[in-house]
Amino acid sequence: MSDTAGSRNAGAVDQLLLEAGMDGDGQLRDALLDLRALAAETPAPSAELAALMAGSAEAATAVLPAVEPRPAADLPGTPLADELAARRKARRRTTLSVAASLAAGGAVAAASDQGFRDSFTQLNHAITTFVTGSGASPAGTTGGPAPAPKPAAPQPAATSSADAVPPASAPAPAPAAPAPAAAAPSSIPARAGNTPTHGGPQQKPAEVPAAPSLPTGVAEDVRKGLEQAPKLPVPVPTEVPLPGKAQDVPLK
Amino acid sequence: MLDTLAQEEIDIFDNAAGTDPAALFAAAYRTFAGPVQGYLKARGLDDPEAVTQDVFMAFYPRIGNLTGGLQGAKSLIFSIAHARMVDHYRRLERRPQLTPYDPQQDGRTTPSAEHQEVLALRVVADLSIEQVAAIMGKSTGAIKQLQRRALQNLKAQTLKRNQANHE
Repeated sequence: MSDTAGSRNAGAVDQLLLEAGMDGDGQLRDALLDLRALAAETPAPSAELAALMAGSAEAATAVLPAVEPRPAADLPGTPLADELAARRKARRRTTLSVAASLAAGGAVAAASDQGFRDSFTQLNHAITTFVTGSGASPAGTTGGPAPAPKPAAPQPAATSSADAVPPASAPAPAPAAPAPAAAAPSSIPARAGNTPTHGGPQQKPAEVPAAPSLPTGVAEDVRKGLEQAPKLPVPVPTEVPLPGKAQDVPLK
Repeated sequence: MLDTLAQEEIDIFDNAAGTDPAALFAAAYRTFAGPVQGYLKARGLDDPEAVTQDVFMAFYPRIGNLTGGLQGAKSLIFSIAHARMVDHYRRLERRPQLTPYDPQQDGRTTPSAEHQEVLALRVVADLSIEQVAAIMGKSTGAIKQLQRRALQNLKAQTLKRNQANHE
């Protein structure tokens, strides 16, 4: 800045001091001049500002779309309709594809479920026979009873297997099952039929008779309760699985 | 400031409606970019140069409705700058203080924000009392009172500082 700028700044500062009634204060005047010196430096314009200052036409075309994106979105009326139609089509496609994938997934899940059943029928029957106590049936009933009771109560079977043993660790208890099953069957043959349908709840009663030595130490009330508990479901389940087993057992 | 402006630039602002917006914008930047940056610097913004660019970017779309010639453009530009400054301090209030204690920045000893604002707008931005009153939303009498107190406060501060330097 030149002397004229300095004198101009001093003039403005002097005017301010005069308005405030503090003219003639040298220190204050210097402080205000220092403050005013902040305005002396003009920053270089950024690229965007330079583009705006450069030319009207090219600057407007170059910068306005970036500054004001609204007109671009508002102007086209038909493209909007096209976009909407495209979106609707896309939605239909997605719904169709989702439905198809769901159906395929369901089929795959069913197939896998069936495979799972087939592959683990022995395990399931080992468990059920362990629960029921029918030692002779496991080998013979692998084909027959497994499909028969499961449509009636697939969820209990799943829960029972989940409660009892996970599929991975299932084979380990499976061999152990026949041993107690062999001991149990003669003592509780009547329960053989009821367990497949009541897989979950029936396991506990089955476990209790698996250790028959305990009831001697257990109070009679408890023993009675344990014995009575299975008696209640006995009539109902026996009706359902019996046909399946009745057919299988004579077959094999 | 006005006396150093070229007459043609003053004419540009006087005939804002008929002139090229780019030329008007360029004249506005040449005339007011320095004071805007100085004002933002005086108000303690972190990056006054970047905020100055933002101020002019916000000013550009409003060139078409510009009235009042050079003084009108000046008032509008510093209104935008003032709003940016207020935004900055609002953001700062919501942010936790991470700097160590500095007696020079203590709000109990430094002049109030209004005193600083009046001095910055009057001295750095070179605005009139009426323009400052319009930007700060106060009456001209309140601005006169504020600037008088601000100058007294500044004088007390400079005296303290000088004494501290001598000691």
